[in-house]
Amino acid sequence: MSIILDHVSYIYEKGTPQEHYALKDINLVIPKGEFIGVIGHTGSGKSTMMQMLNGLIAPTEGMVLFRGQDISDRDFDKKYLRSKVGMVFQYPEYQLFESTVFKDVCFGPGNLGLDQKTVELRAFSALHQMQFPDELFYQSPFDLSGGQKRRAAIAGVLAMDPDFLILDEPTAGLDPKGRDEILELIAGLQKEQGKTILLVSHSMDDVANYVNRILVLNEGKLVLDAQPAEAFSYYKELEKIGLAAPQVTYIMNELQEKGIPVRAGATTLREAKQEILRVFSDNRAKEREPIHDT
Amino acid sequence: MIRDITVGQYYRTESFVHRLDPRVKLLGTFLYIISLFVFSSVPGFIVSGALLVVTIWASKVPLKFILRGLKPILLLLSVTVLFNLFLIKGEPVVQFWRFTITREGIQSAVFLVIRIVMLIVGSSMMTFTTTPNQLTDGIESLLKPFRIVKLPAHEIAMMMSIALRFIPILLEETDKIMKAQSARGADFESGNIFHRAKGMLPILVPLFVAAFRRANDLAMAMEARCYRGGEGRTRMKPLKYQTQDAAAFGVLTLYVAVHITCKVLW
Amino acid sequence: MGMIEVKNIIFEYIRRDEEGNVESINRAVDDISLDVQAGEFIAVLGHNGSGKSTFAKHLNSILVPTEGSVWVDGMDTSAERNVWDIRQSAGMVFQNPDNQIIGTVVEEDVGFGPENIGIPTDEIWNRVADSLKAVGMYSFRKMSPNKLSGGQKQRVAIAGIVAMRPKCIILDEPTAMLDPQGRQEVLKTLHALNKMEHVTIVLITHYMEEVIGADKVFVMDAGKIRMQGTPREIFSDVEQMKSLRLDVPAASLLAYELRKAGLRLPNGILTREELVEALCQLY
Repeated sequence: MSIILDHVSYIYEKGTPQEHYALKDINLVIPKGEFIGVIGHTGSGKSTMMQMLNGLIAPTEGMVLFRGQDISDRDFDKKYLRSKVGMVFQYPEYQLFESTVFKDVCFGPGNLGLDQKTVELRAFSALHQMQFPDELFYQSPFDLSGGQKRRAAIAGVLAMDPDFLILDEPTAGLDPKGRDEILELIAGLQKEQGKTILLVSHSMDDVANYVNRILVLNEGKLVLDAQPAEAFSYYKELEKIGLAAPQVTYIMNELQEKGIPVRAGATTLREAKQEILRVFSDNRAKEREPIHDT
Repeated sequence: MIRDITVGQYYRTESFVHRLDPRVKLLGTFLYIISLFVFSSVPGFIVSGALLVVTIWASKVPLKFILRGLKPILLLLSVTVLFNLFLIKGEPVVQFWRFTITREGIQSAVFLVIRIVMLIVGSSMMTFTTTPNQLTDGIESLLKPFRIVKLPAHEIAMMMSIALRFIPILLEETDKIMKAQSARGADFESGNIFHRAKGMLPILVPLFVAAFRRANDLAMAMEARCYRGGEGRTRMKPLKYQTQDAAAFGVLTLYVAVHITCKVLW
Repeated sequence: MGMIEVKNIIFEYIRRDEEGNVESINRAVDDISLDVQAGEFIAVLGHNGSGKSTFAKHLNSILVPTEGSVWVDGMDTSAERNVWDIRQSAGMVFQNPDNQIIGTVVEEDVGFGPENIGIPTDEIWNRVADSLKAVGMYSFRKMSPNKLSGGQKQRVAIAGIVAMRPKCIILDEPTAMLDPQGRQEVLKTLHALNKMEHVTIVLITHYMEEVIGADKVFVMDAGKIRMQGTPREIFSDVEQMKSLRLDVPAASLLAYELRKAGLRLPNGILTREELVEALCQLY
């Protein structure tokens, strides 16, 4: 069950002199089970595109299809869509409002018309998935630390049991360890439960470490849709639109330029390490070999 | 939708009205509002309308931008119109089923609409053309004489200007929170009034929390920039009456004079 | 004479119940001492909750220590009468740019500080122009702050402090809410202020890439300073940085991993140029 964007455009202030495209002619298939990184600088249209996927913004041109149906159709069940396509906004902790964390997480599934027991079971399960500490379940969400609030807020969306989970900069403002922990948990949702993840991020290094597909948006257009290794091989083009590749990509490319025969496709630290070590051990092996032909 | 609210916003451009001393604009607006109620007749509205048109023209604020500010009060307007149309007794004009529309009802509805629209547009002309800081300075300066009765002029002015600065930010925040709760399946449109009021909690609580957080931050930032009330402050843009202000005062006097003449003649 | 002298400060958040009895005491700053010389660029690095923000608020008298003392430009921050002089010589920029901009026009906001300290009108105009130029925002002076990007807003906030002509600027996570481009803008501005105007900078952050250009780095954890030294010294100790919930630059990390795997790379690699150079020599 994929989400399909078919010639989707979004025009701001249509019919006025300020008219401009926030999104222009996007064609995209998002199948189940992928981990997709969505990259673009502020104002590239990525937020607009994400909000379209669960019907918060309707396209001005084109269609967004879910289960083969146009989600803008009047008889399309928006509530169903929102339960299947979960959306975690930037700084999601600002949406917390209930007196306890647990009640807050129940809010989403509670809106789906499920019975109380199912709602609570889902809330428990969502909080556990986010590894939220048990002893804080009945605390006020406003007394939590920043990292805990973030987990509680993500759990609030997760409790609706979506097949697709969109996260807009879920690590903004977190420290490095907090960032890694959240990203690991999100990666787990994809690996263990087969949820499709769309991760909107500014950080190439984060994206490179987790995703299997990268979408790059610039000025409302989808300029790149590729696997990480391929996407970052265009690092010079990425720089032209104000983006950059992960640090290791640059290191590998520079090594190559200096004549060390590494393959430049490494995008994560581990890949880079293995590749450099491979080349160095080949090199040593060569040195040890007696020279035959002369 | 929420971004359409333009009341209380500043529209940046260079114009005669923008350059006027805020005190002139404050007094003018005050006078104008009073005139709408005192000279509430057809010729009175024509005179008030004329001043409004001239002001809008001289301010270079696009009409479209001004009219957008009226959108949020459309509901209020239609309700008052209906009340007036059906509830005021007098000479019947149209009759159907149990309702009677009277001549007096129509007249009072039309007058009310004109008055509310001119009131809103007139007072937003002041905020469109005056930055909140200028407004603060103007209010403070005008309220200064009332310090004898312990009126905290500076504090009042500062409070207002901060409120104005944060209106657009809080509106945007409301928009964001509404979207976030909609994504969690919240429904703000269906159900009865009680149901809907309860449905607002998921928006209001985060909004209040956010507002307090901002207030706290702002207070700290202001103290860090050595703000300690009105004592000993100097002004980057001190208020000084210029020739153009004299001209504007002239226009205002003429405006009042014409109003009175009309009232006497009709 | 040092710009900032911090001597054995302790700060405790005391939480009380309704009757005013002490419920819990949380020691956010635990025996910190450090000196900052005039003209230095100092970075304080630490994870969320390490106490770095609480510490920062001591440097311009928003908080005063429970024990110990803080001297800013020769003034004791605990003395009530010094408060305004201290805030004038040590300005502070906060995390959220929206919540520290008071004016609805850029230039009026920058003028807010000078107005508060009673600068004459003509001089305010000069200062506003100078400080907006110093942060590269002069052409935006008539704009509404709401129309600016995060990085631009934060530069306006910095200009608002610069206009008070402080000797020192303390920035409490000024880039935490910005995108990468905004972060770079702010960092460049800070280094320019430090180099050209000789303003002492104290930058509080949890982004390791922002401290690379600093003269000296202090790493905080649980209210204490755990590490201090040049960025190169700090980032050489990859294991300790990780244990303090922090990152090291990708080049340092890769060098560390390669060294662990047996490559004889030198210690203290910080940039990718250095790593590439070292690997080439080894090859």
